[in-house]
Amino acid sequence: MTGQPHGRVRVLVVDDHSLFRSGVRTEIEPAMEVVGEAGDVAAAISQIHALQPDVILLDVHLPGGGGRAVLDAVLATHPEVRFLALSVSDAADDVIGVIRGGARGYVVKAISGPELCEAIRQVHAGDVYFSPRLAGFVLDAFRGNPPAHLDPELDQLTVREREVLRLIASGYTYKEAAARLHISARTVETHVSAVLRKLQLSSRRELSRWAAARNLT
Amino acid sequence: MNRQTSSADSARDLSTLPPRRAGSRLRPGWVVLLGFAGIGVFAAFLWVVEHTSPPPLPVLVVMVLVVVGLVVGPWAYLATRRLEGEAAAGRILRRVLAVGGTLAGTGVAVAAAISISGTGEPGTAGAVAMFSILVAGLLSLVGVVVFPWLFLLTRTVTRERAARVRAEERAEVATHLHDSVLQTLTLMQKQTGDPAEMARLARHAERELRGWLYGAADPDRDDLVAAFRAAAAEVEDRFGVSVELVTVGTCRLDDRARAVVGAAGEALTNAAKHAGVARLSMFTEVRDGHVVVVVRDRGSGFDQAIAGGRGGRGIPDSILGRMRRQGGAVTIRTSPGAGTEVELRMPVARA
Repeated sequence: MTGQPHGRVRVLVVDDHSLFRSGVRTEIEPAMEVVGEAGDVAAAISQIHALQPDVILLDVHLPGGGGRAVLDAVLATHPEVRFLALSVSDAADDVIGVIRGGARGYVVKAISGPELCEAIRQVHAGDVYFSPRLAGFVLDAFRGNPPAHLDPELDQLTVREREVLRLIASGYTYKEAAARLHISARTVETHVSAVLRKLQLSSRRELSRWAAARNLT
Repeated sequence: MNRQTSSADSARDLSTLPPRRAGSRLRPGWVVLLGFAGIGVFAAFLWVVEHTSPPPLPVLVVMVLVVVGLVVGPWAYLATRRLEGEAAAGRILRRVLAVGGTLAGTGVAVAAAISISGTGEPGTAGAVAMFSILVAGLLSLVGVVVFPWLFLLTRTVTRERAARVRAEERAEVATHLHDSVLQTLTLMQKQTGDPAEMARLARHAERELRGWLYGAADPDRDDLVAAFRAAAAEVEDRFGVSVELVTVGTCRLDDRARAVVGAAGEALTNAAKHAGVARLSMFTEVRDGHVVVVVRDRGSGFDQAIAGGRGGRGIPDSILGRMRRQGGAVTIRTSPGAGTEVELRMPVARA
């Protein structure tokens, strides 16, 4: 999608609750431009193709196949589209499912307006946004050493990546984490992107299981 | 809108369905009567075979086929109708009848061959034909009577069990929603003048519902994470703040783990009282034989050099003392205006 470099970020809100959609609209406008809303999978896919938004706020639970169905349909032909998943759910399989499906970040619906704007900006800039909860899930999934037959490059986090995730899980922003670790914010972003890649490609049992549980529903 | 359209569609579907062909069907009562008549004829036939000289083979075959057909036919017809719409059952039923038919056909063919070639004792061909048709008839009869009965019985039992399980689940959900969400909504309608109280009630209901939806069915009293959740919940309720709690790993609650939970609760209480913000973060992780807790706020912060001496703000004995007595460590990161972070670290038994 070609964003307007000097304009506001163009956002599409996909959620089946109209109250929530209008709530998000009030919270992120005027910092963001909400170009449209969709309430189910089919509407989301057609809106994405028609409106070409910069970032799509995607609810995990959606009539017609869930957020995962939108990701699968759109990313197959337009891998450059940027999704930020959001959900009320506390269940790891919901979250891991959409991240492995290609979402560039995950936030809970209780997130404040300014934080949501920040997350949208990061995803728009091509970065990855991890909420504290997602960081917790990832630390949980990558606990211990990977089973012998797996690729340690892909199925294990580095010490630095773990440090970054722990700070995010404790409520640090990337900038705060960078200051704490005496590295640049760019480096923090690099670590988080590497974690996202591992999250999507790793064949660790926990991740596969969580993702599978999501696909079944 | 969608719903209306779809219900109109289904109404149309119903009206365009072909009318049930009641007229072209036999009434079950007549079929049953026919079936019993068939059995009667069969008995008569046995008497005839026993007491008269055998007729020529073709006549015998036709007679046996008619008699056995009269016995099996009506019952097979009834069973087929009963199992209409049960694709799997119908398939098995047809297979049974096909085996019966093949058996009878083969028997007749063998009998004809024996008769034409003129080998064997006189009467052998007739006996073979009669025997095979009778066995085929018996097989089909058992198939069409016993099988549908077993099938329907099993299906009824399965359906009843599923219905009972569904009803129990529904009752449980209803009870829970009534005790938690419904009660809270009622309370909230009475508290509309007090936003803080409304927020507290809403948070409480949310926490309860989440625990029920995503948590363990029966919260474990001896679990570290459950204890952290309870501590965070208490601070949320008492001070009207929200705590974003992220937990990784867990272990059993022993004395040292309990000390960490108590200290973490104090750290949260401190932040809720003094930081002047409505949101706190808490991260807990059990790793390498340690439990690590980080309680963090973006509030006012304080000057550690001054606070330590004053005692009021700062890190009271309830945090420091508790942790040190059990061999744990506390790290504070704060400065005025920069928020506060309390990190607790304690060795615990490996899970």
